[in-house]
Amino acid sequence: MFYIFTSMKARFILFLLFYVSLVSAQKYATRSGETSFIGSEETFEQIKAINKVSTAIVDSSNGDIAILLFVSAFKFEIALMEEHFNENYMESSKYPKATFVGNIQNFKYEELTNTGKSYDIVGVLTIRGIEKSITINGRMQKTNEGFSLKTNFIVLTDDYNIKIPKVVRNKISKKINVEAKYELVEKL
Amino acid sequence: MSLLKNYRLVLIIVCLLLVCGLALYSYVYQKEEPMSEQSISFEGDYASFIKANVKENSVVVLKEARVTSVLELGVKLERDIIIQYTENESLNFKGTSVGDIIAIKGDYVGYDDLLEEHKLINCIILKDE
Repeated sequence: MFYIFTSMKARFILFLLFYVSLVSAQKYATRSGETSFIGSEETFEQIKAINKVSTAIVDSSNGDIAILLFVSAFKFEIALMEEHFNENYMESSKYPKATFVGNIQNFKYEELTNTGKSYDIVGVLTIRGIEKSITINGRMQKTNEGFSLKTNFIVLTDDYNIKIPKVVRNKISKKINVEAKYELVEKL
Repeated sequence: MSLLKNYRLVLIIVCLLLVCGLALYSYVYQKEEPMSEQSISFEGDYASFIKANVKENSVVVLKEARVTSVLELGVKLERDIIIQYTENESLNFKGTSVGDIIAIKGDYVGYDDLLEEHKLINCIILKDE
């Protein structure tokens, strides 16, 4: 009886260990992804910023992807621009996060190579609490510890109710060029 | 006499323009206040930080926090606090290892729902604490 109990217990522990390793093996993540944007027309000082602490998680079994970034973590070269970006345009104290939740279409981890492959990523981008469905193209490449994801897409300020005052309308573009580079690893 | 008056007027206008230009330049290109000089919104240990429900975008001083993991340009403190620092600050964090008790100051940007951790950025280590 004791033997059966211990063997069942052992099997249960083995199953748990297997399940945990399977689940953890499926998730690739980064907490230091780079998301940058250029939001200016041809101006004397380019309006550009970079966020080097973006979080991204990809479930390699089905291609599900989630990205989270803190708006106030965008760094500008000019401190005043950063202040205006947070207070006037993005209202980062009211909407501290921007997120993307979606799926990498036809993603198969086994098919990733060192040379890279392009994928369509379909999902919902949420900025300032406003959700918009978007499709972006991303290039994914196998790396030593996991894989990388690079993408480049346009965000329209009107879609997210980002109001640009008339005075600076000819300096700030309504089409913001966003670039993201994430190095995802199996374990963080 | 009138010519001298005109010159004086031009000189005054040029000086005024110069002063305004300089003021505008220093306003636009003002330097970001260093973290060490920024005013603190919360100060305390891990337990009081969790209890306090600190608002996003506030400057936090975390005292007596245990290092539980060392990352690239970052450190994990206690169970669920990730602090990240810039390359300029990496020298000061060099030598930090798991088990160390440290005090840091940084920008609390919020709670990361994906990784289930609190995130502080632009952190500096407070050596005298």
